[in-house]
Amino acid sequence: MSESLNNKRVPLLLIGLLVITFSCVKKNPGPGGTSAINGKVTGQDFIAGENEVQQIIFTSGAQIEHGDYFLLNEVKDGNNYYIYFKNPTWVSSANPNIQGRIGLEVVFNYSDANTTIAQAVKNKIAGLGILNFNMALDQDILTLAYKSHQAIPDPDNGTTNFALDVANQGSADYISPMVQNMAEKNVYICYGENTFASDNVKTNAYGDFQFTNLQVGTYKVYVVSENPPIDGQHIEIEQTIEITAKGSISDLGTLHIFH
Amino acid sequence: MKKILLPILMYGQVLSAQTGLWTDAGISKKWNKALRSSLELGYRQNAGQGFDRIYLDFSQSVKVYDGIRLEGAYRLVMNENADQLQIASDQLSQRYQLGFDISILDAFDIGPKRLALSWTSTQQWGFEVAKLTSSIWRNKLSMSYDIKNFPLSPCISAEHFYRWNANVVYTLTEVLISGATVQWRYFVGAAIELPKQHSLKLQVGLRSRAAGVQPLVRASYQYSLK
Repeated sequence: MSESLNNKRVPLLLIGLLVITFSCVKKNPGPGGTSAINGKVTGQDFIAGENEVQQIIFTSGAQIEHGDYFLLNEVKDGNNYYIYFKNPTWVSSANPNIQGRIGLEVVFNYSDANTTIAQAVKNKIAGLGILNFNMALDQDILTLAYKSHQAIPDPDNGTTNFALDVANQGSADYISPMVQNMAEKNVYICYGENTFASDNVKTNAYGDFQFTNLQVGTYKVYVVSENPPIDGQHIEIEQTIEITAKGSISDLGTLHIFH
Repeated sequence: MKKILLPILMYGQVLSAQTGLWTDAGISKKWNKALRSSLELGYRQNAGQGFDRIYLDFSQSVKVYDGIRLEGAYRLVMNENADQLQIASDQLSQRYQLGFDISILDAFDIGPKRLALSWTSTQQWGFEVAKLTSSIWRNKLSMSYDIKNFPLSPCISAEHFYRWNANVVYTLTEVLISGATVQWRYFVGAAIELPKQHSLKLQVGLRSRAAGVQPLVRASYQYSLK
């Protein structure tokens, strides 16, 4: 009787044991499954612009005449200026009254050294307040470093003998209007709550990618993009997706980047 | 010419593989006429290559009818890491088996008593970190003969492995899973007659997988508890 009872119990025991142990086999997000994540990477070309740098080398007062001027552009609030020189011994007006520009008067003496002239001009411009550029004076060389990425119309020495030079030509940031499929781009995946990438694949010629052999769970997928307008800075363009069923394909959609 | 060339080619192929050396030792207990449990420790290595795996296997079988047994087993395996034994959780794998064994001659009460012919059919699930759960259906035909007044009982077996999820193909919209034969395994050898309670079986064999053909040498010892 007891033996017969055992015989009946044992298969049930085995099945029960299998069910319990199967349920104990926990699988975390990651490889080892039969699901996949599909997606696409598109992008726009980004070329960072440059800051314009201009330099002015001043002469001494002896080489300046009453009424001489030179031209600077995009000085403040998008306005163009002319800087003219007034000698107090002259009674006539030194202002050349150039239309469409704002004039700044700098008083000088024929005996002024070139560094004195340079300092006087710098002080006059600085008096305008917040400018489109930063100024740095080294002896008689005044450097104007523009703050934004843009092409500035070249300065002109006007009637003076100053040397005006564009040390670095400015240019604007460029973002291509055309959105392209990004081929051969690295796409990263983080399993579950992982902070850093667990795996990566490359996109195909059409910008498509696929992560395979995944288990049910949550995943973060990202691509690295440039971060316009900041040159050289990168950010992660990411999306989180949950795989809810085995043997399923989850579509992440499109990740758009600048490159 | 063919008769000479083919065996030479086969022999060459066999030699090029690393021979698997499988040893296992276990204890078994027969609780009554129907129920039997066993605990086995196995160690495998590949000659000239290094450690392959070590495992602990617990199995139970119950006779449901004359010549027919139901079997269930659990195996905990520590797998190799670069052919070395390194204790690490991600090298562990688990295996569950559920199946039946039919002693054909016993079940139908035919043939000589000294001859044993059995068919074992087992469904097996394997779990390992970061790997696809394997689902394999194994079918094994084995035959042995107990020669009268001779210490060796020759045995031979052939086993087929069919993996239900051998091929996983990812398309744009769906995952296509299909099965395939992943292994054939053959053994030939003999059980050596030892004093009661002890049993020792020595076998040589081959297994054919996608990775190639591998020769095997296997020694199994079992002690039966009273």
